[in-house]
Amino acid sequence: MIRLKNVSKYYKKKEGAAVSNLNLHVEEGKICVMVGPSGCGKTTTLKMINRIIEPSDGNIYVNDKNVMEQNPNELRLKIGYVIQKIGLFPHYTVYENVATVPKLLGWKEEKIRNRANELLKIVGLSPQEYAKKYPNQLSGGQKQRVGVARAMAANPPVMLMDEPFGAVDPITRNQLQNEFLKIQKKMKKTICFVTHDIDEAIKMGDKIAIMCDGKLVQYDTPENILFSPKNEFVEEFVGSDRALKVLNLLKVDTILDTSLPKISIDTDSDVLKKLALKGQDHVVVLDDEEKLVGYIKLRKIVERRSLEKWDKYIKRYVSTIDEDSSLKNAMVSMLQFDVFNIPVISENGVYKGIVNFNMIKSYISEEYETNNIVDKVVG
Amino acid sequence: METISIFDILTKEAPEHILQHLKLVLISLNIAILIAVPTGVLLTRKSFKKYSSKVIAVLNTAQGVPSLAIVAIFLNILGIGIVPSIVALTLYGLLPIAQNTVAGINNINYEVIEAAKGVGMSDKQVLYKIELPLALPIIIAGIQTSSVLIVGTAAIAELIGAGGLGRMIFLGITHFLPKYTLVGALLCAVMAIIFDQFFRILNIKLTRNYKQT
Repeated sequence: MIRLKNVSKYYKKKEGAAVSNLNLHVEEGKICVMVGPSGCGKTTTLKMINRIIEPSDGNIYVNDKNVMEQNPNELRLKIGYVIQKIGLFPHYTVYENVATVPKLLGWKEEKIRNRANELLKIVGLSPQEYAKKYPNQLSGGQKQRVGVARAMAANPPVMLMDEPFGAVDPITRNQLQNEFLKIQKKMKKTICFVTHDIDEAIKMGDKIAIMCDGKLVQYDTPENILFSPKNEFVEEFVGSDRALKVLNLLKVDTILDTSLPKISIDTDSDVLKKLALKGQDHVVVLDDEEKLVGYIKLRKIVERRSLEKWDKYIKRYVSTIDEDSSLKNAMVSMLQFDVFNIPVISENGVYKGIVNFNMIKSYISEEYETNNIVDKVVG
Repeated sequence: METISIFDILTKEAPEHILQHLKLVLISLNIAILIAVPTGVLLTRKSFKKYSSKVIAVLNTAQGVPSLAIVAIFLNILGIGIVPSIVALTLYGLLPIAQNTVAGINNINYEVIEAAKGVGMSDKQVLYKIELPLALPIIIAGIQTSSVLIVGTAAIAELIGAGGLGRMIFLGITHFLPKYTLVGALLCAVMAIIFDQFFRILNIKLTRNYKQT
């Protein structure tokens, strides 16, 4: 848990405060993303938490302990820290980089080795291949992974991340974000995350703190930021394509349609006839492990042919998506493959349901109506 | 005397002078390292940082004084003999090492230092685990420059009684024995090259694993 109480930072030379009277509470196990234009004080705020920058005023509590009353080095040992340019130690191997904090804490050699190997696996780098490499032998994405592994090495309950995925290309960034969210799901760390990218904020944050000129403008969930921005600044910062960003935020399971009839591949043709009589058309075909095989359009078949040996008429879906994809991913696939229905499958291929274009549309407009800003978006 | 061959000079007389020269160089170089590296480190610490450009400027000016003058100055202060020679040589070798120590530490990417502090290293740990190892190649380059300077200046230090290869050179000049001068000068050059190459190779060996990017 991180709590900032009336925190301010003044610099002698500059007029005004870099951060003024900031109050922020990051709940245990949640990600708080601080976002804002450059110079808004977000990085300064982050660095005050581990006292890289000393606050001029106010109190900061990490897990209910005032950071100003602790030795800064001991404090930092308990807080994972990832910075934009990663700052891997160039003269240390990947292994030594990851082992830095455990070594400082005086862990036993074997414990350090196990932990470092475990972490490298968690961030998706094989220890055999990468442990002995030096940072200059790694790609940007791999460096970021090592940076994250180093920050998590001593299993700190709190992590500070300053644009941790800023220095890599968009594809790698997306991949790193997804992997990090997966890790976070298991680890449940309390995280303060700084970015200037509102899309990243929406994707990563349980809560978003929008900052401007050293002040906190709005601190809320991504949904509320998107649907009810507090003032014009937030609205502008979030962008006019808020409706599309909402799609990025929502997972496919929010509007998953599970009502379509499912049949197993060895179903008797009588069952199909009954379904056809009930007026069902689109039927999903699964194998005996509930994995997706394809679909059949009953009406067409019943019109022209008999249902004996119906498995001949099974058609494949041109595309499927994972259950943890966003609605935006679903939309993109729909546009790409020119379809209106896309089946959702779990990680191991089990069928979960269907997302439908019209359902996405109506869901979004409903959300906007309840927040009374639909006319603004249209305008 | 006129008939003595270069071979004889090399085998019979030179070894003694080479050893004396080497002794001068190694003692002064080591003292220079012991003074210059800590001074350089001190000049990069927060509280002294503001003086660093001034101190380096003073040292720079001192380096501009010809080696002959340095030797002459110490003749006045400390008299003749090996001790004043070593003091003069040490002073002459200080600047490149101190300058490179400062440059080496200040050139480390700030984010590496910030990361080191951020993971919880104390100032001392940052210095020993991060700053010094990363500055080492540049510090060694400074020692390399310094060693070559000292080898050359040590020959002149014979003027205040240092001995070494300078003795052969000046003997040749004062007694019209060009062979002595030639052998002394060549050996001096060879020694400078050997020092230079030694530190160059040492640097490559120490840093072959990583590059600072």
